Amino acid sequence: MKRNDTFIRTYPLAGVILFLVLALAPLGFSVAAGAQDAVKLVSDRTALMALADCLCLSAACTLAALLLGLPGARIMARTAFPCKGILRWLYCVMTLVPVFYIRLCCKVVPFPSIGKPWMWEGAVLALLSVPSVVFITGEFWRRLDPGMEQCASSLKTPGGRIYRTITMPRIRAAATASALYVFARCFTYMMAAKTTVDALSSSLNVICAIIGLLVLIPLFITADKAMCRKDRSKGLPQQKPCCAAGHIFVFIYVIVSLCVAAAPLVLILLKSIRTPEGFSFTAYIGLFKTVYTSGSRTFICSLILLAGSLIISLLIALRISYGASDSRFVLALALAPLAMGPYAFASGMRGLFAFIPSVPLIVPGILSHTVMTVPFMVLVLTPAVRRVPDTLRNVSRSLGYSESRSFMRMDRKLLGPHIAAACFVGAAASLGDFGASFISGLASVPVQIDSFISTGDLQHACALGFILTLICLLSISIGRAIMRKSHV
Amino acid sequence: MSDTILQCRNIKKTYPRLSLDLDFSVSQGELVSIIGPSDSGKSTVLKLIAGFVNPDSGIVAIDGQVVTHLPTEKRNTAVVFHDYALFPHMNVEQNVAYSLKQRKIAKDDMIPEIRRLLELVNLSGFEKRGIEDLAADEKLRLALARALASDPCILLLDEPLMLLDSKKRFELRNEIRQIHLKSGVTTVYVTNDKEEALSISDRIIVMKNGKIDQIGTPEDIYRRPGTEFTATFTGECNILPYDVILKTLRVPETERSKVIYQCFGPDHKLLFRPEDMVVNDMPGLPFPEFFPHLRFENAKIIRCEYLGKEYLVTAQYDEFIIKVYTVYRPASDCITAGIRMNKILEFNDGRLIRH
Repeated sequence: MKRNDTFIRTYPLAGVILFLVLALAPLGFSVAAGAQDAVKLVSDRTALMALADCLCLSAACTLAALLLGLPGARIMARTAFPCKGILRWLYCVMTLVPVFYIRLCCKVVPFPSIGKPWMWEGAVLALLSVPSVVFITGEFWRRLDPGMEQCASSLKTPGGRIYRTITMPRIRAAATASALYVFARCFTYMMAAKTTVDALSSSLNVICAIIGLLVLIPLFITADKAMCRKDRSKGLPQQKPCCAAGHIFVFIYVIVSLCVAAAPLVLILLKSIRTPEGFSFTAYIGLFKTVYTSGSRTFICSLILLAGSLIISLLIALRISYGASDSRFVLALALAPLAMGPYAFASGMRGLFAFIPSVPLIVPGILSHTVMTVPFMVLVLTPAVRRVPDTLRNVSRSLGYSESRSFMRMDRKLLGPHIAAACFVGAAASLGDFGASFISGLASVPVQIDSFISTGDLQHACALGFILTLICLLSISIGRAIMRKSHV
Repeated sequence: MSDTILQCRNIKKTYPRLSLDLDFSVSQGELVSIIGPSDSGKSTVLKLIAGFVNPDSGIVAIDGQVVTHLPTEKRNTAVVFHDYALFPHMNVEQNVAYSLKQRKIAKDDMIPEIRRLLELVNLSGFEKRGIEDLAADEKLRLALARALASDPCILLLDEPLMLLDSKKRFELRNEIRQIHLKSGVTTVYVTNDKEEALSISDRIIVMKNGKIDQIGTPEDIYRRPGTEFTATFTGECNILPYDVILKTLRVPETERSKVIYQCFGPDHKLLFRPEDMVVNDMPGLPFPEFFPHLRFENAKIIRCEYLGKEYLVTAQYDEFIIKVYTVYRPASDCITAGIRMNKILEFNDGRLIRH
């Protein structure tokens, strides 16, 4: 995978160093702060129980998501049916859906009064994670050559055995990757939900961050190895149209899985419209006034966070993507914040900036958002950078252009749509991020939604949530549409 | 030599699985092909010349100037890769103009220059076409035009015909030769197809395991291969041990011992091309008498491959395996073939010692 190109070795360095500083400095501060509480943590039975709860619940959620998601991945990979592109897009959107929705869902969904509330929270989390498994595993599975399965089938091997001995070993990396991603997501969410108000939050957040880091680095290295093998295959294999009975099964699964996974979001939407007096256009205007006159300047705050984090993220992510296209370690490093969660970074960043009182709160907020936005942009940019052949840059150089001019005239233009798409995806991630702005003490839109939930004003919470969802969906859709215009 | 345009002196470059050791030069206006099996270091030689790779030691000089440590863009070379590396976001005209802009050609002169170059590569009228609308051979023509537009000292072609079918390969290799003659640019052409190299080159460099096995004209390389490797790589050949002389030599008895003594050492190998053999594939017909020669009487046919214009027959005579070409499919399962002594090359320890 190493590329014979000096540009790829030198260009990413500045981005990687800046990212390391931005990520490691607050993390180090969190670790230092957490270490002080570590002794208390060991003796604090409640905190240890919380940790154990989170681990068990996350493992259960992951298993459930995997069991529900793998059949969907197979359907996405091997069966041809209409509107699959739209479905894939929906799964992608739901994989990126902001985590704060889980809390809103738990408030909105009329769960039966049996069992403990955290069980239902876990159930929502698992269902919202199903699309992640379908999307990540399915995208990998559909690129595998079905020739081996066909060959095994011609040797009269039963279907189940083919799946166990031929298919499963090949998709294991992607399935593991999706499972670990879901685990990291569930674990960080639960740890944050259970500990942000707790005195031992910094210790637990550090543990959470380190576990996330340990889990995610091997995960992405494994998954990326598998994806690189995939990249060498020539084109996508033909998909089989299924029979009538197969069609019915496929549609039932897709509709059920989508409905179950999307139900909480739909409920939020319904709740935002169908209030006792009806949430009309005038009511939305009222909502804006409420939010705007609350003194917190919610929208302006979110916009400043968005603009600041996008500009810095783009500068870092573009450079890191070149490093990540050449080195799996750099890729894993860039994606590690996904597993560590925004809480660890934001609390560390805030602690660091506490030493400089003159700096406004928005600065650590922007930097925390940047760390959380970079991975999404890297995820969009790295595959595109990998698809730009070295030979293009080499030819350009042999025609007399220097490395930097070749980059400006070749790479920048070829990657233009991907850079724009990364900005849109990054915007969705930044707008929807709750943890970083919450810990930084900034009243962004997700934080405002959270405060509506806390005060019991679910109507306004749902309405604002609906608006944010629309903006995020629109952003992701535009990003995907732009990417299609790419030459690479 | 005063007209030497490229010199690679004592170039050494070590990789985990390959050690390059090169020393050669190319004259102005020459078309030199580099051939060799896979992983013999052919493309690496091109990269060394272009500056994509730096040698561990040695000197690369282009047009009298040492460029060993100069970056690619300052070497005045142009490369055509096997995948052509055309810029996908530009059309045909823009691809060619990319090189011209670097040369700071005035805008008014650019259009006629683009037309001239496209005409040179038989791509007139394609100016506004997108890259994805071009066939594979048209892409190659465009890549050549773009490379020539930069007015290079040396044009480097890295297996440019690899992606084409055999008919197009045949057409394009002749066109490449024509373009080379018209433009007069010195060209280094890497290929693993011996026919391509033999048909269009002024000289050929044969590489083996990172080292130059032989440099020579196509006729030298084919007719007087310096090593056993070059002989076998450049075409079908029969390699037989010294013992074959004792069993097959046809010469008057009085001269027999003299011929054997004078010509061949006991550890030597004999090498001859199948097309040089005289064949009698009709049993009962007398074999033409000429002296001295080796004759393989009633060799048993093992395999007969139809190649279109002829058959390649593999036959066993005693413990020796021989290959011969015949125009007609042999009528029986035996064949008689002979080879004149003056067509036989003598090798010792893999190196040619007598022709």
